[in-house]
Amino acid sequence: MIINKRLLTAVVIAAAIGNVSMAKAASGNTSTAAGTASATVVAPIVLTHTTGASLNFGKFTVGAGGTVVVNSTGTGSVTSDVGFVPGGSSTTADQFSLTGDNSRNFGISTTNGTITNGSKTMSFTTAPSSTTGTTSATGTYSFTVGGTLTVTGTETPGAYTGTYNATVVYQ
Amino acid sequence: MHKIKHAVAVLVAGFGSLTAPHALAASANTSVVGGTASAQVAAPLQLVAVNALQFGSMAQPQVGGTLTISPSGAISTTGDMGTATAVMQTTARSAASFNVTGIAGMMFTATGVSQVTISNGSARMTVGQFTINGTFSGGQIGANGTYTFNIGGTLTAAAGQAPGTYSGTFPITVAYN
Repeated sequence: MIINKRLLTAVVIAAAIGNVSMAKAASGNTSTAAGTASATVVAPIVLTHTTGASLNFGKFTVGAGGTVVVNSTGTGSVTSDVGFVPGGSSTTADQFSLTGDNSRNFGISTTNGTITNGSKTMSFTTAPSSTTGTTSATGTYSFTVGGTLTVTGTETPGAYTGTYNATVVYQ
Repeated sequence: MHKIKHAVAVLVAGFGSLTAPHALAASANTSVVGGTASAQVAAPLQLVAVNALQFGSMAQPQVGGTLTISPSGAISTTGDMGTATAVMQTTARSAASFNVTGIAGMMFTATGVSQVTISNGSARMTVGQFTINGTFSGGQIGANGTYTFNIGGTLTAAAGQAPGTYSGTFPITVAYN
């Protein structure tokens, strides 16, 4: 009887080993791995015109025509027959600021435009302080816009106003 | 007393002389030959994720859309994801790659799930339509016992998707076919 019990125990152990080895074989037939998927959405780039700022070509006499140039730091100069009114002209460059993703490159472009006073117009071109930029580590940036105003000499005295567009695009 | 002791001594001697011839007889009556036992342990099929499915960077989409990366790395978009993704990429966009090791020449199938979510805090996007070379099939393990395959997928972003870095995982299972 004692011998029989021992035999039975041995058989049970063998069966158990058999099951374990079968389980191992089955798991070796398939394998699963987790892939990683990732994407980054960056903060939108938002351009803001600085309140009160403008591209100001100052106060001048037209003479026989010429140009008024305002550089991106706001310093004005004239060509040909155009002359600033002494003491009465303060030229300024326009100012913009933007917010966006941190430390990201973007491009700056500005359009040409016209300024009008009644039926009289003058056309101007614009030039940003830089055509490309990189946002700061906190996602900010600011730039200025200068321009060149073409004066024909036929303009009537008065205040001329107009608009142009500035665009920033992530690169 | 003396006689008994002697008899025991003789008996012991007798047994001693008997065992030696028995041993000799045994070696002559049996024969041992080396047999052959064989078994083949198959290399287990093993899948390892190597490279992530990288959808890269995109500006916040205004209307939303999809960005698909094919297994070969080709990119296509719908909605305004074309313009949204036209930003400088800090990490190259790429399909995921997986490496299979197993029995050389064996065919295997690969299966996945229809879609998963990738998240950034509470914000989520879905990634689905996983493909291996256009279809979701499998492959054949090479002669060297390994095989590498790519997985592409489609990312769906909503209008005004919250900025941030999104990540998640997707399971891929391979099985001997």
